[in-house]
Amino acid sequence: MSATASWATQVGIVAALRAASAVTSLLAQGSDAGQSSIVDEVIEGQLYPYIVVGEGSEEEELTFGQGGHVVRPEIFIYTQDGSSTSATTGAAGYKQGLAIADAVATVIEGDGLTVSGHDVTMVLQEPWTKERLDDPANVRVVMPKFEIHLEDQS
Amino acid sequence: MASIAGRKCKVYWSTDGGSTYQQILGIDTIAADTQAAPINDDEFGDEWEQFISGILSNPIKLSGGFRPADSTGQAAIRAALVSGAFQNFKVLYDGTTYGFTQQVVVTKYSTNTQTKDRTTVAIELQSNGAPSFLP
Repeated sequence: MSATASWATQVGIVAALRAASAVTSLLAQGSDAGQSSIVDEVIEGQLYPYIVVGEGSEEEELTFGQGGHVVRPEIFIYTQDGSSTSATTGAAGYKQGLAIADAVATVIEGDGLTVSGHDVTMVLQEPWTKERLDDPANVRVVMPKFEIHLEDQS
Repeated sequence: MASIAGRKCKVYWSTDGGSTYQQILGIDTIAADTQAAPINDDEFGDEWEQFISGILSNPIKLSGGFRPADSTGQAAIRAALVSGAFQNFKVLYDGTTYGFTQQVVVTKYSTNTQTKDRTTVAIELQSNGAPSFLP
């Protein structure tokens, strides 16, 4: 019975997103086709758009004789597009971030998530938000949140 | 002795008359109501009702997550409901020592599913004869 599942879940989410070309193709490409644009700590020089995984919460969900967890990861999608294309239809604004969020949700709510030592029994979307940052300029943050139910493997 | 944390509890099912038990998976709640049916013993002149202890019973309710692949636990219980066979239940509240065994018949096996929750199961067992309290 594992005591916690947050780290295993974070590793699983990063692996699932990096393995999904539908996600990585929307991120800053770098030298590895977008895989290194999914991180849990941003280092200087990180190009937009990128995804940060790591924040969230966890609680126990036990049955008799078997451990379980509810992990609620928060995913931050950062985009920066200063183009003058009109809002709501062009690249400026939230369109890019929301497209990435849609691809992320498709992976995590689908069958793509594997969490070491656990069975994923259910994934739900939690209420999520988006916001704009003025510094740096033109940065938008889309923050999808999930509720992942896990059962310990024996 | 301190109280027992619920997380330590384990529940078991036996299909061979109580010789061997297999853990029932997915269960997170048990309610066992060991009780005596009260028999009224009023007589003329009594100002307050009088009762004597009647016949004893030990009905049990279990609930938790639905585990259809638990062939020796939840699935065996469902099969026992259909067959009507007497089988044996065991609970160990601390996972090792304290609890009881009880011959039972299965009287209810219900499942419930909602889109935003896990599929759950609720099981009702009716005792047949006396429990054996452990240890």
